[in-house]
Amino acid sequence: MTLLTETTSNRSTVNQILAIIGTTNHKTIGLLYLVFSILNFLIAGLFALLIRIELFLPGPTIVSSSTYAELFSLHGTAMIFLVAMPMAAGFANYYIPTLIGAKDLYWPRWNNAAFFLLIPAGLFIYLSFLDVGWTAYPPLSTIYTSSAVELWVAGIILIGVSSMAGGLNFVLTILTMRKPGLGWRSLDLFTWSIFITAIIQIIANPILTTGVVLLELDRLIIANTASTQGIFFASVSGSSPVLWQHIFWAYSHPAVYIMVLPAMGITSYLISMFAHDGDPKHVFGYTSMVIALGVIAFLGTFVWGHHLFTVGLGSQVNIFFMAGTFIIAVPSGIKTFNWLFTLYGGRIKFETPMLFALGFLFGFTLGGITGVFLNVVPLDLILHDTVFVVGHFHLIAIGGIVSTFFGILYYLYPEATGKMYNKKWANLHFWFWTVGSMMTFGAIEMAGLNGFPRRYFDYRPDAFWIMIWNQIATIGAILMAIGVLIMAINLIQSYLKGELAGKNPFNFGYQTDRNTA
Amino acid sequence: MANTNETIVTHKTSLWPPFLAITAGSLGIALTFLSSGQFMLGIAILFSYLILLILFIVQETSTQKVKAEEERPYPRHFFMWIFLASEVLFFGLLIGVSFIIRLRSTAWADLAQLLIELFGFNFQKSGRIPPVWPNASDVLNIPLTAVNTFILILSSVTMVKAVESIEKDYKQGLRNFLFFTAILGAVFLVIQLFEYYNLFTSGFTPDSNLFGATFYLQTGFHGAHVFLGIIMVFFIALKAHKGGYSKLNYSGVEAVGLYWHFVDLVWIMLFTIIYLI
Repeated sequence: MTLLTETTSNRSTVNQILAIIGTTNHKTIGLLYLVFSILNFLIAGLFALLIRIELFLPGPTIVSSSTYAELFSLHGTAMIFLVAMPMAAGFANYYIPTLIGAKDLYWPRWNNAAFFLLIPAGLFIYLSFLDVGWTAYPPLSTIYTSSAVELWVAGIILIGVSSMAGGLNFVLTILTMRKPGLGWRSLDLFTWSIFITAIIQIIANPILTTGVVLLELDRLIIANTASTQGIFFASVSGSSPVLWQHIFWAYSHPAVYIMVLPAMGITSYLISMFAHDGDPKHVFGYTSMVIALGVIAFLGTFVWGHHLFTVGLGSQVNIFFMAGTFIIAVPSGIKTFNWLFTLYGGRIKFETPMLFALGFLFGFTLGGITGVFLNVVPLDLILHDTVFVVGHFHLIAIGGIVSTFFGILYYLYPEATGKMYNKKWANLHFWFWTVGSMMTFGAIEMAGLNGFPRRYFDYRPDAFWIMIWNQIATIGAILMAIGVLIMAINLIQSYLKGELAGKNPFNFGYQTDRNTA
Repeated sequence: MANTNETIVTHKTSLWPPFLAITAGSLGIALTFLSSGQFMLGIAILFSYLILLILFIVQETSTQKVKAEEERPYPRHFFMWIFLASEVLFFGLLIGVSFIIRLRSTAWADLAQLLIELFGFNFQKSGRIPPVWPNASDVLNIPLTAVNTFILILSSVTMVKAVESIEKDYKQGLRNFLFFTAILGAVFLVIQLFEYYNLFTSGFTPDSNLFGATFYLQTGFHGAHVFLGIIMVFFIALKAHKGGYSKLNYSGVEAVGLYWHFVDLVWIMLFTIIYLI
């Protein structure tokens, strides 16, 4: 990319590579994050495609059942820890310092280390060949698996350190390095969302780190002593495997918000940019947007129990978690209506980034509403561990979060490379992606309503509706894959032969500081 | 939009951060060795990485120039507060886990009964074996640890005196008190290792029961934090020896001081919960 090569022109190739590896420039590190997460997105996406193709027909078709278990486990872990989080960190690295008028992040060298920690972490996660699901529930992950859970644990710890360093860096940058006169009330919503996300990262990360350390100690005790069940998550010693479920979801539920809050911030940014001619701060209900972000983050740390409704925690506890989760729907709804009112009366430019931001609204609303269904305890007792849950989560994550990440990727592309992407192909990518994701995950939800359990390798050939919905989902997944392929070809082709983007590739009338900078 | 090159020129490249980050992968290799039974090899790999990290800190403290105060505005040690917030959660979870296990055990049957009557929270589910939870005074050497606690509190006092000295620009005092702090911390660790040794020889190991597991987990992680704290105090003492701190610039001492007090506070809680209650 131009930015990478511009930094280091007039030097030998080795020195150029060393300069990129040792860089402390936030933009270069941001691009490294993006390249890393896009590569992982392709790998983990390929896993997902294999899962879908396997489910196209009943009976084992292309992979064995043990490979299938590895595929869905690695798909989940990689998509969350190696795609969604680094991608948000990449965009934040690229944009936050320029948005708040800082030269760089607070600790540029930590920033570099935070990125490079992801490389051994990613390697370990893939090499672990995890086959116990991304949740790694004991005793499955302590006794009954032959996969290298140690490596997965090491990967998770390294990612924890990385996102801790990244989170501290962003909090300090936004707290202290704003340009003079840029008060809290005039920050844009993307910066706000990254600030709040960083705080959740700092608060939630130690929980998972503690949990995986306990899990690993259990495995070490089993490997090195006479104990056959471990001690922290084993019921023979008087402890209980449910403890791990609490610890895991006390982190992993906030982790959902670590992924979705930056996407919300990016959506606010894109919608106000493209509906109001390049003004990033023209949003409806600014104060309520910020408060909603804060409330979602705050409540999100207290509702992990809605993943454990079927465990048998007792009805008082379930009602507490159910009520907490319902309340989260309120700030989410406020945000959705504010986005709609931001669009209302604007002069909307239907460029590709804007299309993807609108795709976020669509996916987020659908996924959010199915989430409200799942939160009703009696309904959850029926739908728990069916693919309905998978469909709900993916509607938000793929239809929403990844959509808006694609949007900001297309927005960033002309700025980072100096070339314009091919708009027709980019719009085609949008349509393939959105139609494909709605089709896939809508169909998966229907399969779940028909009782198809999650993580199942096979279904009976006489289960007609389950087969039909699975086949529709697979066709949708292939559409999504075609969309991603179009994106990859388009971005590479435009980088090599595209037309120059110029200083204002989207012809905004309103020139902010950062447009002209 | 045009890339301004002025920001790029000011950035220095450094190969240390990516190098350390990638070699942090030794953690995974070490864990693999640990769980395949080659205990010493795993520990050796972990320690060689630690040595690499210390070399990095030496290099950083001796080469990196302290930036002017106006470049790093007001919260000079604010990052330590945020970091400590995450540490609070880390220890909070460890303590919470052992607390809940203890509620399930036979030791606190009355309290568990009370919780059922008051709130309906049933920790001791029927059909589940309640964990063995021996009386702390039967297993642990409480007087020794009480002395040890006193030593750690004393080290906190010397840390306060160190910060006080540099506030008054009394550099000799800073060096002395940092030295005392590091020594007291080291004494604490040595006594803790001695205690571990005695417990192991008397047959109280992490896998003997859940009390043992949570005991070694909590005190062990606390010990690791003290060890890290000693390294930090050692390096600020090194810098103080070179005259790196003055009345106007002592945020490093303050940050390390905060960390040290936090570790001390955690110990007081652990001592109360594990040894006394």
